[in-house]
Amino acid sequence: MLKAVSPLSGFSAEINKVTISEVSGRSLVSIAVPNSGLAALKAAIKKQLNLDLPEPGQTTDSKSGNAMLIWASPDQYLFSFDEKDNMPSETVGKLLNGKAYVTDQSDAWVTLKISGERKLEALERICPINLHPDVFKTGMAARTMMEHLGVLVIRDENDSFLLLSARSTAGSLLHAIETSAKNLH
Amino acid sequence: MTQSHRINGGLVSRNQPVNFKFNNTSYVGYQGDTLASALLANGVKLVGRSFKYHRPRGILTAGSEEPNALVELRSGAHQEPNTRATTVELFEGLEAKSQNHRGPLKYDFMAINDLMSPFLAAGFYYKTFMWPKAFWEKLYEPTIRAAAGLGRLSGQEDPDSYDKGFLHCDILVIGSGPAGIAAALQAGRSGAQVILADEDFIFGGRLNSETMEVGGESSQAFAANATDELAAMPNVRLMPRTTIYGAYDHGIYGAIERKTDHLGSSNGKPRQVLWRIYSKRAILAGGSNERPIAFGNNDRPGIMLASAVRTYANRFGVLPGKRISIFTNNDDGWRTASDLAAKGAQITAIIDTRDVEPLGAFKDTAIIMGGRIIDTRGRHGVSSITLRNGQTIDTDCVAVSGGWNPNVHLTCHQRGRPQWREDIAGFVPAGEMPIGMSVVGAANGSMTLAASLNDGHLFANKIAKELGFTPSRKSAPKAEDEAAKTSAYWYVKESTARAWVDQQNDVTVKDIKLSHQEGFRSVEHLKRYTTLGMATDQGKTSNILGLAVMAEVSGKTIAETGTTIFRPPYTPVPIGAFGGRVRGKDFKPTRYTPSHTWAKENGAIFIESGMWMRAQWHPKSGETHWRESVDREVLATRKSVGICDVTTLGKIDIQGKDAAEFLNLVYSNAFGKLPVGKVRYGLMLREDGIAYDDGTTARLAENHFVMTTTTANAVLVFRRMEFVRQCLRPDLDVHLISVTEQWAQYAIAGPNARKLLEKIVDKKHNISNESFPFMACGEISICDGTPARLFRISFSGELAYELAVPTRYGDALIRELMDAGKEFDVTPYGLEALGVMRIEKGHAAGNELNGQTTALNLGLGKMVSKKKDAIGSRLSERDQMNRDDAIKLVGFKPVDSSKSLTAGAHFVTKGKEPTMAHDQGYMTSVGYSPNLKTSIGLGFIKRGDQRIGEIVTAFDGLRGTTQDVEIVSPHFIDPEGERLRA
Repeated sequence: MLKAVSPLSGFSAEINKVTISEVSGRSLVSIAVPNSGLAALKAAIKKQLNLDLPEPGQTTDSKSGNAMLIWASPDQYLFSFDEKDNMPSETVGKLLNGKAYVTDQSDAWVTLKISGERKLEALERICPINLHPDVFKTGMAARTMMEHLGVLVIRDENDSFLLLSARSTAGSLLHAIETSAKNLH
Repeated sequence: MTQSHRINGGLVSRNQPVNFKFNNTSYVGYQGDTLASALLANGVKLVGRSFKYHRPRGILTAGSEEPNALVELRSGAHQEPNTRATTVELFEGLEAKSQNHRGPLKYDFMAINDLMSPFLAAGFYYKTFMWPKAFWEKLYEPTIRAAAGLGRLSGQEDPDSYDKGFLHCDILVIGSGPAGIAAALQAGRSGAQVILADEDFIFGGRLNSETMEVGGESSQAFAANATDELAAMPNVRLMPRTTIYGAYDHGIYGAIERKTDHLGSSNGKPRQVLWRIYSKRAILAGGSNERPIAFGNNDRPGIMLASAVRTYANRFGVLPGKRISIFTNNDDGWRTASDLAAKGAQITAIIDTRDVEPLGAFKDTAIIMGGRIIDTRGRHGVSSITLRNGQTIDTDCVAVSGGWNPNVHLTCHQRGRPQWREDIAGFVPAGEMPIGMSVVGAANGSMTLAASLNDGHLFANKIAKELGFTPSRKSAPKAEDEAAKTSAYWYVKESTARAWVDQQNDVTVKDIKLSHQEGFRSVEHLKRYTTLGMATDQGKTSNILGLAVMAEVSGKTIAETGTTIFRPPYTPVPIGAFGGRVRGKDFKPTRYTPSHTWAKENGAIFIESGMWMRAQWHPKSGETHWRESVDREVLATRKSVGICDVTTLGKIDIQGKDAAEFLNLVYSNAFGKLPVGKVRYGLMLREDGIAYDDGTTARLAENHFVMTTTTANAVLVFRRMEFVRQCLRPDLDVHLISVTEQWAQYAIAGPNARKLLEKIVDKKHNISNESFPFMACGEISICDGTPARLFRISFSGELAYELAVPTRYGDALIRELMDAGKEFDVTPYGLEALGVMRIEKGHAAGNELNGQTTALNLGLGKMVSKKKDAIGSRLSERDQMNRDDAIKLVGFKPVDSSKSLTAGAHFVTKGKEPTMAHDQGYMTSVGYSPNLKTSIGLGFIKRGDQRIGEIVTAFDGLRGTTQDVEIVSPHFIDPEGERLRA
């Protein structure tokens, strides 16, 4: 087996009360809904993954098993779960048994977790959408742009965010967030 | 020097003295001073020279509308010109210099312009410097620019950093004067998300400049307490030192927050932050600006706006003069008089232009009703004024009040055109207002204190309610309305001396009359001819006065004359702030390939390819020229095996029951019958039949394809396919997702490619030529269970594969391949070698798919299937695109093989002139083939495929070269394709 490396080699730092850490050890599989196949997929996901399909702009969480379904675009979801092997799309494909088209996306993205007291102040320097807790509530997800980079932002917990962005520009995303934290007065 | 003009009171911290320098002289002020108030406290009146005539000028205002007191702030690379001393917060070690003079400020050599003023009136430049025409650019303009103009830039790179950001709120309150602070309080109490922004460093606006009462306390105390209440609300964001500079679409406002301008050093933090504020509603409480009255020599230092004199006394504890006279056309001037008298100032005279009963009695003060100042004296500061009756009064400060202009700036940003209101003699907001904006207080014509407080309070309640919040039941702060009767008196006609209207651009009453005399009737023309209101202050103190003069000379009312309008920014915003943090390579993101770390470790030379950094070549020690490295890489690959990171090619995962039908639509050639486990080269056309992109698509399963696109078009192709899927054929069951980033992909090319691969591919997979022939593909595993995909495709023309692994393994894979390939002298090759090999093979790339060429031109005419419909196929059948003499892709070699070909050269028949009429085609790609030991090229020439062997002339007009070239087959190497099938 070849040795795997994560996009940011497990980066973690706290700058000006903003904690930035790379999330690794997760699998990410896209789930596309076949035409006229939503009901069947919904049932299969409920049965096999014990999850509800999220509404647009939302995520759903499993009560156990640390898995999350993210609404990604019309007829498309991202399924995030703890990594078990390096063939996650095969695993999910088997579970859903033809009810969905699945594609491995685990290596296409970098995931950063942003937390800490001043996280919102840092994010407002680059994130055009409103992340205020009354507006962007826990469990919500949105696709947006930060410093020219497409970013999927999720409030995964009350006091933290996940930022998912393209793997090849992981360094640029990290630079953008680090700069935001360093620039806090 | 002592603070000769400092008095008691005010909001400065007397226990915090601050040292600063102006024109290299040291002074002391206090924390809480502005540079202007500190200069006045030290008796400094002369602070600059005027724009055109270099007349001595002093401080006119106490705010951002200041036209005169512009300084170069800080020194060295930090120097910032045209900084308004009236808004600069004093800090320890501040250094400022006056600007626009040669020699010392007091003895400016350029003051000669003032003596020449009869020649320098409005329009002088237009009329004088027209002929000879060539002189304008070379002589006149540089000379005029050197003489006129404002401060100087440092000429060095800006050493400060800036940042940008995004804010969101329910209600944005702009300005924190009485109306703004009352609005913010009520908006905040309702629970709405509120931003209160003010350009000043303390909140309260004119409340800090007054001695009035609000809610039973002094206006200053009220402002401070209200600020405390707002600061305690978690839903309110207080933004002092923040100018809302523009009102944009959909309730979006531009704001510039000065983070460290009030400090000696930024300590590495951004100096300013440019915010984009998304508001649901905005309450504009911009207040009003006092305007001057024009009279003879009204620009001497010491002649100030009355409200400014009041502000310096009440807020800063500074009396700008010892013997102050008041010139007013309204009640407010009297309030200045009484405030100053209460501070112990001697009021020498109150001259009111109105014939009304005096509004007060003052000890030892000449009160002249219906009076006029016609002239003043004093070289570097006013020393006396002369009245209409010839009476001369000694004075060192004239406080002028010509009435108040509601601050309508932001209401004009979407072409709102203010309307004249006779009762307040001012323009109020009207017309097309920025969506969601309400205007309250003085900015909307509620000129008095109680009215403003009420206005802000009630509007905030109304807006909070509209947004679904419950307004607090608290009542508006109690206050009295001050006397505020005004009159429309603009300039002293009896003055024979020049009377200034726009002090920043040196426009006089006479200039305005002249422009009218010369036929300029519209206010817009007046503005451009005289430059009235066109300086950095955008005429905040001068515009209305100017158009009032114009109205009078043209015999119209002001309402009929109309007004010019404002556009962003409200006050100047540094360009650096618009750039924000983005500098140098941070201008855009950088994409790194999976092999980047390895390539860097091994000394590769990189080149930007779109946002990607790709290895251009991999030099070996001892190689001194790039060609050495590239030639070696090409030869080694063709001899044994080479490896190239091709991850940057776009990869799109296509799944669905109708995926094959979908591909048949987007590709011009057929994909329906492509067997599982096979790859096919595909060509996409634009709607108009021009070639769009090419690539290979592999069928991994019945309903599962993986497409590759060119690096450059990866996003465009994906976007176009989404359009086809969502808009043209939503009936098809097909789903797309980009997997460019998911897979690290390497090309492994050369006669030993298979041998190398066999060392790492897990034994259960047979990749022999029989089992895995040219154009085969499959999902395999390598290196003991690492998932991978293998495609037998070739861009180089060699026996070649592309091997993909999940990106996490990309770094390990290149190291593994290099290690396993040692016995074959494996060679990494870069973009240059890749280019040479594809030219040798005659493969088209971006240079050939250049947006002007068709499948026919490219020699791919057969790839446009006639048996099915595909995007572009119908329009590619147009006659003109199928002419017999169409250009065709062929190869070229120089007749003299020691010469290099040049891309971009045009072909003409030998012996013909290189003219458009003789143009036969052009060269698109060239390279040096180390295999053929000659320069080779690809290009298009008319009927090229029928002209193999012909010698034509390649004319390169850009480089000025002409050479004979031979038309050859585009397949320089292995035309039969034996190698790639080996």
